[in-house]
Amino acid sequence: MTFSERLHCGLLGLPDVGEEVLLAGWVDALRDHGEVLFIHLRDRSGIVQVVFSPGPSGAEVCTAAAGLKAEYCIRVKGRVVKRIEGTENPGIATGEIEVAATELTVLSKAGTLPFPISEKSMVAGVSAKRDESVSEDLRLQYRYLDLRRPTMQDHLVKRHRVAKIVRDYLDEQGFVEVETPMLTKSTPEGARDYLVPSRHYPKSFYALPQSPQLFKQLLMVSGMERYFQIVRCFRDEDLRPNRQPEFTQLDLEASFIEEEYLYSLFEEMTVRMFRVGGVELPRPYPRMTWLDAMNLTGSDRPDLRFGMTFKDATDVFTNTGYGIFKQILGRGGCIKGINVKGQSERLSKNILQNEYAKEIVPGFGAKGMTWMRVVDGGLESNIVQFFSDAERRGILERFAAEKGDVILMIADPSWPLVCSALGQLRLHLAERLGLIPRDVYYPLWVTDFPLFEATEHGVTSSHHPFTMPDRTDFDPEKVDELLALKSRAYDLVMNGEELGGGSIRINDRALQNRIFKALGLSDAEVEEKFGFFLKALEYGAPPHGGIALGMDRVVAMILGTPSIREVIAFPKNRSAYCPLTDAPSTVASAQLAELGLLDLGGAGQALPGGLEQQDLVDRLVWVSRIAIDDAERADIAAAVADAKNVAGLVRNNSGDDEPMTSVVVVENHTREGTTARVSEFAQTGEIFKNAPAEKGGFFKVAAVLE
Amino acid sequence: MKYEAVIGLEIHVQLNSATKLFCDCPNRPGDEPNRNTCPVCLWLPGNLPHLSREALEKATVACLALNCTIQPVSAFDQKVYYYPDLPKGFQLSQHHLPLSRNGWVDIAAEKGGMKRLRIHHIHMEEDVAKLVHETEGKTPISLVDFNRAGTPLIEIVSEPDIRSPYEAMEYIKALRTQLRYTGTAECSMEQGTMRVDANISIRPEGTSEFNTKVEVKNMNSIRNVGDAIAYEITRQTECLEKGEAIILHTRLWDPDKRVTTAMRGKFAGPCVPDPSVAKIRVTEDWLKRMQERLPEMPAKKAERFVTEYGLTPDEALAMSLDRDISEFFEDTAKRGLSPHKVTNWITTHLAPMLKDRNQTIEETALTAERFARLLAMLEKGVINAHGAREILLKLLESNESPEDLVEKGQFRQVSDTSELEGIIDGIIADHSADVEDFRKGNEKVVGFLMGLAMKASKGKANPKLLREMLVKRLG
Amino acid sequence: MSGIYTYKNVLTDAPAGAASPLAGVRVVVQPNISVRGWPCDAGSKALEGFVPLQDAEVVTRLKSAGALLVGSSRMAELGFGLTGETSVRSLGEGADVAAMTDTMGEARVASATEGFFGFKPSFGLVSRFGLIGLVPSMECTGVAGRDLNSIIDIMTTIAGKDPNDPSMPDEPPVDFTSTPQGFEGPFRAGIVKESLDLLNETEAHAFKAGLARMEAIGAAIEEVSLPGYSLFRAVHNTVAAVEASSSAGKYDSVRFGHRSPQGRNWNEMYLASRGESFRLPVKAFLFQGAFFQFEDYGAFEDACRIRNRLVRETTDVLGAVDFLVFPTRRMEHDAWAAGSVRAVYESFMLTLPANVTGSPAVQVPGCAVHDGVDIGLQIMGRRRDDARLLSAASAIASSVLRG
Repeated sequence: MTFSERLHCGLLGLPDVGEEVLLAGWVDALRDHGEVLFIHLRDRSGIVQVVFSPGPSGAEVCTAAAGLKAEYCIRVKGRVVKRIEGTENPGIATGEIEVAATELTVLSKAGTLPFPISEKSMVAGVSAKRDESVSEDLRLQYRYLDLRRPTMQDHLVKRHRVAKIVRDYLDEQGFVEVETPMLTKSTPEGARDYLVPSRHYPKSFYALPQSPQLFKQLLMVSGMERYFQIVRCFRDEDLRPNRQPEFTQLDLEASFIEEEYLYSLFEEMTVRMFRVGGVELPRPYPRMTWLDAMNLTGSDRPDLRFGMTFKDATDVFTNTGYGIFKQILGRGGCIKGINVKGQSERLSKNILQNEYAKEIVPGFGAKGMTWMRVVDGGLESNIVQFFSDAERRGILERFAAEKGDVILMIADPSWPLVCSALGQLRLHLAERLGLIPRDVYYPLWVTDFPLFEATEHGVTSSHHPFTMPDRTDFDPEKVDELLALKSRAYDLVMNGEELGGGSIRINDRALQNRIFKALGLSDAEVEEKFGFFLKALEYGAPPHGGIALGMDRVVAMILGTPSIREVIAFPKNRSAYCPLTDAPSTVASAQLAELGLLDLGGAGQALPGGLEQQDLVDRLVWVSRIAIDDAERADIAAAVADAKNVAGLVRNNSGDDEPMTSVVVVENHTREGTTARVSEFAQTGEIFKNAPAEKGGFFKVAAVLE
Repeated sequence: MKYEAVIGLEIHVQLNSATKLFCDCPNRPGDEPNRNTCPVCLWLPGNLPHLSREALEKATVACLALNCTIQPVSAFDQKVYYYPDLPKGFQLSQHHLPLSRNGWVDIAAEKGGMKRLRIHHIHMEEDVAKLVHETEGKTPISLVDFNRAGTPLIEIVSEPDIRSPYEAMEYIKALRTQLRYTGTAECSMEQGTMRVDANISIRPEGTSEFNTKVEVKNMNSIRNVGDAIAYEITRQTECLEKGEAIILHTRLWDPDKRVTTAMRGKFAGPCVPDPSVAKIRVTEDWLKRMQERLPEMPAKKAERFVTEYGLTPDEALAMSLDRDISEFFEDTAKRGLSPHKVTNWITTHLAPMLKDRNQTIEETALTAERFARLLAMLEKGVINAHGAREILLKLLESNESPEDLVEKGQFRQVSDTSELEGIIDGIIADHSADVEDFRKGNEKVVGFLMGLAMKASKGKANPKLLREMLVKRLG
Repeated sequence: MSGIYTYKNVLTDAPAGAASPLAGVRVVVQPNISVRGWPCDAGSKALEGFVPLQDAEVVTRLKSAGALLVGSSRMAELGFGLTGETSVRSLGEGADVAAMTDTMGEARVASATEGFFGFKPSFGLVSRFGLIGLVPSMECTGVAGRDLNSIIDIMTTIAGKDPNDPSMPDEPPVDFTSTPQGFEGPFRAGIVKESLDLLNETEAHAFKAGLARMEAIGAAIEEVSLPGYSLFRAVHNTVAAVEASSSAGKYDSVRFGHRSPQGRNWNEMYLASRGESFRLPVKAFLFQGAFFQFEDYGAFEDACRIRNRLVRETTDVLGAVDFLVFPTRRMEHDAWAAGSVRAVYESFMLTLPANVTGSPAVQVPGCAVHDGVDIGLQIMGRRRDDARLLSAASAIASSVLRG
């Protein structure tokens, strides 16, 4: 018999009883009963029990079998027999039969294993629990062994299945898979690029794509009309536990379409994908604007598997006498809160005050939290005494509060801060109190994002600069106007995670130019970075839009794995490192020399004197925070050069006297300090008399962004 | 390779002096913004700093409590950097000549015994202002509140003796206990009156050189300090194992994600001696007065509690850690009560009540005198433990006498045998099967019947007497 | 408003009684000496629109002694040098005396140029409370006047301890009232031989004429040596630049002063506001300070060591003679025209030693004259010997008057 006649272990069953079969695979587990030896033989299809016993197998085969160890790769010939009643193993699919071996060939031996691989017990009713303490790095170092485990193989098979469904479905819908380059141009799209040096152009670099964004838009200009690709993308971002430097994206783009087309296309496609995991998603997916999402959950990817959405209580306190609220509202702030229904028994005063108000919520960035327990006859808290009756009634009404509820509120002058802190609090409480139902999938489209976000220097794109705004009549110089723009972008969110997102793109060169202007990019910069792309917009670019989906994350969600590394064959670990290949690694200097990379950066190299002086002045501009203009530069450089000479002079004449900082001795001049006095100028407000800008009792300055 | 961590802590503690360090403004950062500011702390041109004697003295007492040697001469320097929270463009701090050096605290070592952790030096400095960030329309702006600017701090710089998150947390707790005892500082990380920065480096176990350190900031609880250090040790170990270099920089602890993240390096400016602030020259006489201000410290006090009151070392430790509690204990125990009983009532009843109310003893209505009268009634059997607890709760609230409360609340323990007899009769009549059980030898039944009887007496029965009578009746 | 004044007071103060020591004396101040309610910009855009909330101690004392504050003059930016300075010119135009900051010799050099008396008291004698200063360890409020008596009257009023200035030393007060009118020699005056190299021929002749005048009233002139003399300038430059950089740290546009409309974040706000606030040569001086602070702290420390030595050497020499005598100014180095740090220093070479050592020094007009050019005669005394110094100056001045 040759391998061509080989059958698969996991597919054998009662109909095969009596057949002679040839099997090949790995020894999953062994059980030695002296005369008789049982093994589990495993191939990709599953496991079957093989019996070596003196009768059917013969002494020679039995002797050979006695030398088997876990994970030997073997070839077995034998006859399928029905197991004796009472010895069936329902834990494996082939549990009703076994194979009585007649021949055994060891194809390849295995050394001592770094961790156990078998996941199935040989004894009926007992589950072989794999030791979960195997460290992930060890698993990754021996990934080829880790991937022998049926669970891991199942993940890869299902991943393949999901991808196949995507390809088939998109093919049905007229999409064409087109490959785009991996070696491309570095463009500022948000994250840092992975760079690849070029040998032919020393000190020049390709970049690995962060997404095929520009190429897929170019394909639309080319008239491909419907493109997709399951494509690897690369981002050199800060490490996060569930982030990979390279990841797979389902990327698609279509011309002559509106948002509704993509919603419907994507809903049908994701419904089909989730069926692989036995999940039936309800269509249509609900939609929510970004503003509603922030106002209700404090997140742009709301987890709506549970309630506890925000209520705004700002108006309840319009005329409040409570100092803290009064001050916050006076500065244009807001107050939002949540009602933790019926949880007052589990949220004691102590937990609320000492854990949440003092530790947890400040950790979310809020200055404080107001808590109230709803009891018979009203509210109980350390601060309700400061609230008027009307305010107390207002709270009860606004939060539809009943006895046993706990109301938590956050107040701050900053709306984003209130949303963000309360959003984190909502998730924290839901997690702690077990309010999140398992096995529920809640897909949601989030729409109407702001087109721009404010930064220290102006604005930046929330999505990317090719996103179509909701209005085109804006002035790119006016930050306020820019920040009010919405984008025609949409995110697909599920259970608090973003699965994908996209937008309708700009296909008008003039509009695209104005967006770049708004972003503060100079014409030269735009030309340098995007010239090739903008040129394409001058040749009849069709209206188009698209969307992308993070395949790793979606597959992980479909299969319910704790991390995306479980659905990637050879992932990097949490530190973006590959324990299997030890990548990244240093390279020989000869390699660097060949690429012209040895003398980049110039650290430690002396620069010509003039340049150094120039550097010194600029350094001093920065450390002393005094700007200079070109007319002053020469005088200042001369003065600094003088200072250097003076420094040399004093150094050469210093002597060994103690340094004197004052010609008079002044010691122990203290004031009593036991009675404090509020300054009359603070009382009269004169303290602000000379202030360039004052606001609500504070000195106002330009943003300090930390 | 096995690595060990080398940890040094820089701890800022806000002193609770009445005024700021260099002017008479109230040392109350939390007041209405900029209420506690004046031309000096705002550093309006033409003003001069004037050192507070009270702050200097409190700083000195704090140094002494941490076993530091006060330096004969100390002086203020200008630590130069520019930031809107710093009105002068420099911070007055002691860099070249700190107030004190060479201190220590003892902690319970992880593997038993004591470990002495050394303090390199302690210096005084002024705090900076507080920034509030918000948006105006869509424009981000910041607001400055100078109430905190100029409030007095001491910075306690440890030697790099600390080896684990545990030791770091114990070190902080030990500092806190000592400083709170002196009454010079509140030391609350949550309230921001104690702020901890950790310098962490790792090295192969058994080696003695110091590797590049990383500074971690922004921890707002002692537990966070431990977590941040543990995270940083793991992160640096991973770096070294991968052959990456550790770079000198500052990281921020993110209490939500429980990780540290790199922050833009803050510029370390120069320190220039300030030409205007008077130097501090310590006289022997003054130093002696400062030493006299130091109270009996917890370690000493615990020893005394063992010899003077016969407490066990554990009890003595529990009674001495907090100064208020220790004084309350002593005040109560002196009134002729069993010191063990006082200890027991403080630890198991009073302390949890205070914690739940988030109050100190001083903030309640309770006095040692009334507490002692309550415990005396308990000892005499006038009330039982259940009643004593109820009354204690009321003593925290008002000045009523414990005796009145006993009468008003009908807490008087029932020791009237005929009344108890009646209760027992009822119980035995209703539970004949259980009585039978007991007689067959199941002694557990007594507890069950006791519970029923106590309940029938509404918790007021004298439990000792009740048990005696019940057992007698059953037997 | 004349070009001399930046602010002219409407004199509504109640006329002082005849008993007030300064009754009717008209005083001009530089706008870095705080007067509540007056604009005090210290000649800098950094203090644009700044109005102090409190009077400087000096102002409080002048007011209560019955002096009339006529207004504030123009001044060099933050009192560094004399570029644009007008307070001494006011002496002919409505003021009797000018109170001005002397950081490197400004009061003396300005007086010498205009032919007036100028006095810089010992360091630590006059309160700095309310002085918008630049170099705390060297500067003090000096006085310029047409005669020495009014200077003595002003000093009598403004010298002495002030609880608002805790940096003043615990020393007994200097009694200016006992200053003898008409000091009679003999006294010993030293000329520092190392200083003579700084003079050109005309100046050397003029200085000789001044010395002759002193000998005429009975002074014994002898040549002395200060080995470290050539280092005064380097020490002053290093220490003053560092202190100036620190002092100017408060000009950040947060609580007062000029704020640039540029800058969407605080870094930009700082850079732009501070960049627009300072002009040359102050700006260049601040860069020198930043250089020592951030790049070469060792040089600052070395300068402080040398300062200690210079103070010791000066004290030693002044143990052997009563006073040291120098010319006040050099003709070729016009302090009003100095546009660079180097030029500013060149114009104060002869006066800055008194600031480094905290010694009192007085400028006397009319005796160091050659070919009609008066370079000024400067007499420097021991610290706290201010009263005797002024009486010696009076004696010389009277002899000039007598012819």
